[in-house]
This record gives sequence, C-alpha cells and structure tokens, in this order.
Amino acid sequence: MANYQLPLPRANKKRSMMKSRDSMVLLLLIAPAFIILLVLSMGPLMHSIYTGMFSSNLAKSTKTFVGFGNYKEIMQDTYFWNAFFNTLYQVFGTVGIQLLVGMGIALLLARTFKGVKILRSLYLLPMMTTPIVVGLVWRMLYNPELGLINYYLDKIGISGPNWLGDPSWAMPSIILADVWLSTPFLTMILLAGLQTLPTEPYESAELDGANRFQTFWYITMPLLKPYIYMAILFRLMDAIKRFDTIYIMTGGGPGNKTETLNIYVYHQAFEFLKTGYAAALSNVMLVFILVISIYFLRKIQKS
Amino acid sequence: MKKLNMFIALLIVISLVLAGCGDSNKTGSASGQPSEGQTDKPFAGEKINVLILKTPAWDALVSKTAEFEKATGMKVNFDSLPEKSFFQKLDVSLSARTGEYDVVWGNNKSLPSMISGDWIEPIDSYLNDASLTEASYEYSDFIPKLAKNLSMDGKIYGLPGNGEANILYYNKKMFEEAGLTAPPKNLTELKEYAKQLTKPEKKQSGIVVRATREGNANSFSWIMVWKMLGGNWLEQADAPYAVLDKQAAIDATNLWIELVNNYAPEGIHSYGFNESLLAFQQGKAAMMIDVNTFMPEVENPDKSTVAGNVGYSVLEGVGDEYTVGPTWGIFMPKDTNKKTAAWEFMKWATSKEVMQDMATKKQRSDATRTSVIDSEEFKNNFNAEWGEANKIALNHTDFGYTPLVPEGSEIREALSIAISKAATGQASVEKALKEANDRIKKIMGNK
Repeated sequence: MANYQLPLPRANKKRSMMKSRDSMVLLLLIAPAFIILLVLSMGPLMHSIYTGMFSSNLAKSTKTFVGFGNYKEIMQDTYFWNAFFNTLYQVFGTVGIQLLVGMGIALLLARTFKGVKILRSLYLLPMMTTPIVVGLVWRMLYNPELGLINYYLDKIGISGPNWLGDPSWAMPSIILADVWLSTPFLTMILLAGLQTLPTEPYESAELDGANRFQTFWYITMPLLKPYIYMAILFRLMDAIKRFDTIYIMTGGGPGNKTETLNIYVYHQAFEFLKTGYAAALSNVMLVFILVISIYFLRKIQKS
Repeated sequence: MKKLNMFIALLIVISLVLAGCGDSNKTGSASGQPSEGQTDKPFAGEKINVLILKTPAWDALVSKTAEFEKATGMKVNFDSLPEKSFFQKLDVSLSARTGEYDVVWGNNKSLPSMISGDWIEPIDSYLNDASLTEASYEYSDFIPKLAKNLSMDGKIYGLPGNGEANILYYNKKMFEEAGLTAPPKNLTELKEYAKQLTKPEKKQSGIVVRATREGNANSFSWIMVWKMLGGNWLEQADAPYAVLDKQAAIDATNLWIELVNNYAPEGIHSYGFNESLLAFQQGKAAMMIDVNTFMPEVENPDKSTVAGNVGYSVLEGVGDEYTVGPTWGIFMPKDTNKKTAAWEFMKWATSKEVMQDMATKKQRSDATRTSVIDSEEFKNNFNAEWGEANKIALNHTDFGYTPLVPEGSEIREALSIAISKAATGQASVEKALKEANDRIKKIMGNK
C-alpha cells in the first residue's frame, strides 16, 4: 500500500479547515466497520490470552491459574517442537515450490495466444474446490493399492511408494496436494502484477540486446517484487493455518510425521479438551504468524 | 454543501449500525403444529432433543421413533452425527452446559469425562422408581457385562445401546485352499495362519486390522494383542497407565508389527476400519480382526464379494476380559429440564419390544438384551457362527481398553504415535514405547 497523502498547501487556512472536515467524514464512514472489526477480533484474542493463563480441562471442574506455566510447558513439550518443525517444513516446502511453479504459470498465462482466456479460467478451478474434498480426492489418488497415481506408475514400470503411509513420503505428498490446491491463488496475484508492468523498460532492453533470461531477471523480477512479497505473505499465512487437507489425508501420521501446529492444537482442544493449553498453543502460533507477516509487510513497504 | 456531506455521512453511519441489528422481530411460531392437548397422551406437546450416533442401526431407530411419537404425543428431534464429529459435538455441548440435549448417546471414550465433568445424571433412581419404570422393562435382561460397563463407582449412568467387541472374521474359501480346517485359537496360531494365507502372487494378504494412527485406530487392535499377552493398564499402582516400557508391551508391539508389516496389504499403515473392512469384503485379505457389528456389512452381497463365505470366532486369551471393544450407551445430561420425557424416550429406545422388533426385521444385529440374542428370530436371521462368537465376545470384552480417566484419549494418542513410529521404522520398538511412556507419566502428572 502506498502512503498517499494529499498535497497540503501551507498558509491556506480554508483548505486545512476543509481537510479536517473531510477527514471527519472519512472517519465517520470508516467507524462502524472499524468498531465491528475491533470487537470481533480483539474480543476473542483477549479471551484466548486469558484462557492461556489457566490449566483447564473441560472434563474437570477445576481451573487453576498458572500464569505463564503453559508457555513453559510448551517449550519443554517434545510434541510441540515436532509440530513446529513439521509446520516449517510444510510451509516453506509448499510456498517455495508454489512460488516457482506459480511464477512459471503466471509468465505463461500473461502472454497472449489463442485460448489463453479459457486457460486462465480453467486454471482457477482448484482454487474453487473445497479443501475437504481436495483432501479426500488426493487421499484416494495416493492410496497405494487402489490409487490412480501408483496404477499409472505401475504401467510405466515404476513401483510407487506408499505415499501417505511412508514416513519420508508423507509430508512431500501433503505438500504436493497443497501445491495443486493453492498455486492458482499465487499465480493470480503474480499475473495481476505482470499485467501492470510498464512496457518502456522492455523496449529499451530489447534495443540493448538483452536476452530473455536477462530481461526476466533484471527487469521483470525487480518490478514484480512487491507482488511477489504480497503473494508470499498471503500464502505463508494460509499455509501455516492449513488444517483440512492434512487432517483428512493423514491426521498427523505416520507416527507424528505430519502433525503440524494446527493439527496439534486441534487434538489438544477438541480431543483432550485441554482448553488452557490449547489456547496457549494458539497464542504461540499467532506470534509465529505475526513475526513472519511483519517481516514481509516491511519488505513490501520498502519495495 | 459541506453540511450536506456531513449529514449524508451521518445517515450512512446510522443506517449501518441499525443494519447490524438485523430483524429481530420475526413473527410466527417455529414449532409448526400446535399440540392437540389430548389427555390420553401423557407427553403431548413435549419436545426433546437427542444427540445420536449415525449408524445404519440407529438410523433405523430414528425412523421407528414415529411410533413412539404417536403413542406419547412427544416430539423427538434428532441430531445424527458420524463418530468423528459426534464426540466433539458431545463434549462441547455438554461442557458448555447449554441444556441443548435431553438425551445423548456416548461410550466408554466419553464416559470418564462425562462423569468427572459432572455432565450426566446417574439413573438408578429412575430405574428403581416403579412409577417411572414398569417391571416389564427388566434392566436385568441386559447382557451383564454391558450393563456393568456403563456403571461406575456403584452408580448406573447409561442404558446399553449396543455393544462392540473384537472378533476374528475369516474367509472360509481361502482357509480351504490353504488346507486349514478351523480358525486360529490364539495369537501364536494367528501368526502362523497369517503367514500361510499370505499369497502375494494372488494379491492375497493374511490379515487386516486397523493400523492408521488417525483417531488412535492402530492402538485399538494393538491393545487387544497386548491384553492377550498379559498387558494391563493398571499394573503399577504408583504410576497408573505408564506401563508401556514393560515386556508385555514390547512383545505385543513386535508381534503386531510382524503381522501388519509381513502379512497385511501394502499401505496398511493408512488403514482405518473402513479400508480394513473394504479389503476383507473384496477378498483381498483372509482374516480380519475388528468389531462384531461389521457382520451385516460383510454378509451383504451388494457390498461384499465374500458374503456367505465367512467364518467367525473369538481368539482365546487369559483371564476374563480377553477382547476389547466399546459399549455404547444412552445417557441423560444433567442440564436437561425435561428429565421425565428424556427417561421415557431412553426406556423406549432400549426396551425389549423395540430391540426384538428391530432384530426380527433384520434392522440390527447389535442387540444388548439376552432375551433378544437368544430369541429364535435372532438366531434365524443372523449367521449362527457369528451369533456364537458375538455372545462370547460381548461377555468377555474389556471396556477399559482406553484408560477410564478423562486423559484416556491422550494416553492412547501417545501409544498410537509410538506404534506407528515403530511400525514405519522411524524408531526402534523400545525407544518409541519409552517415549510414549514418558509422555503418559507427564500427562498423568498434570492432574
């Protein structure tokens, strides 16, 4: 977002009066939405911070205040660290691959050729499917005995792995499904960016005899930077919170190889009813997302 | 002009705020039919909400409820949910003390939490009150083991809805081909038979069980093996449930892993009960260990290629409780304000007449009353060999296969992760079990 300010001629009282009136009106117009948003987001957040200070279990009537005890426990919780590193693996794996693939597809779709419009709309289909359904379909595809993937691999003489059941393949399988599901979203942002680029630098580059790769690397990339950061930011937030597909495909297994933070929080809250601990975990996750978001927001503002 | 601007802005703000309030003045009654107020129907106009598990048998009960409504004048609303979402709804609703439900289904997984959270009503006083319960209801007719499973600390909490217990399903044709005449009697024979029945050239596996970590499914089959080898949750008084470093647990894990890694279909590590059942129905596996209530699915020719060709037995074990399985019960939440109406429905749903009628119509084979499973209709309707295995299993099932404490699910999760890790080669058996054991100690220390 650019910081857009009206040029304000000094020593012009009338103008500044008007401006303050105008901003009053603007504030009034924004106020209702802002207040609603504040109440809806801050309320639960406060409650979550409050709950995280207690050791509480829905199935027990006792609720003891532990202050930061839950957080201390989280730091010593091996399952938490396992979930934390799994989340890093999943998030950076997903977003990294998506960035490469998405960029390639965006460059392809930004060109004009016959049928590109149809291709663009077709390509958005995965984005419109429900993640639950995506999880179920991929789970079937990955099935080592009944799944299509191994069936076709068999046809060409490769014995496919047990995708979701093998500890070393489980997370890559999840990442692959996620790439299919959410790359279009990233492509959309990059495509929008590509279509706003000015043509002059390209013309001069052509005159200077730059080849395709140079043009891409020295002109397109720097110009696209804000869009790339924005795409990464949105996808990262989304990927950290990814729950549905993982839950459907592996439920965290084999062992706890694919148990991400979100799945772990879910187990603690809804299966073991440990509300205090789960709230504390969610808060840790929130901080994790905030740190990453702030880093990328800064990058976007700089570029 | 500016004033006009301000005015318009204000108008917009006010209208937005008002729009947020929505239309709260809906008219008309939501109840639909007004009660007819007939006096011969004791519960005319009374409405109760029931949280019920979604299974074919219970779906049949839901349709049958029309008869009950007609007789009593009561209106019964059902929320019918599959197992995965069922427990969440149950826990969240009961712990919030909304009084949303007047009757709930539940099982041993939810019972410890329901009692320690003080969410459900003991029902002894209802059963013993002649004005509320007629003698013909005969609580003593329930299979004793199942009735006991839904009682705790000398109080009765639930009425037995249905009982599940692990039995062995075996494919008679495959047994014949392999020259085997009788089902395996114990774990040692089970392993031998599984080996003999595994024929990769025919794409035939020896055995299927639940082996995925999802929903702690793998520990369900594992605990049965472990108990048969003498494992017991309450072996140590000073550290209850932290018994996974003992020899019985190590032996059980080794045996379980040998079975699933050598004699089960590829991909077994992502098999839940659905996949396991499907493999057996399609003739991909010669034996299956799973709950007794799958019999109708296995014998249904539309779904199963092995229908009519299946044998049933129960593996022998030590002691009195050598198989495992949940008992489902019907409970009354503390926060309902329609206790008498709720009780009336609970009684009806578990009554002799209803259970007998559903068995006679072949709608359910998971009856919990001795009189029903001993009736001629029941024996004629359902496979006799299964009937025998069913009876043995129900009388010897360990209801406490999940530790009967509110932390039970969490303990089982630690175990399930360990089994899954060891079976997929992420850690040695001893290391994985020790890790789980340490976690259990931590869970139980966090009282």
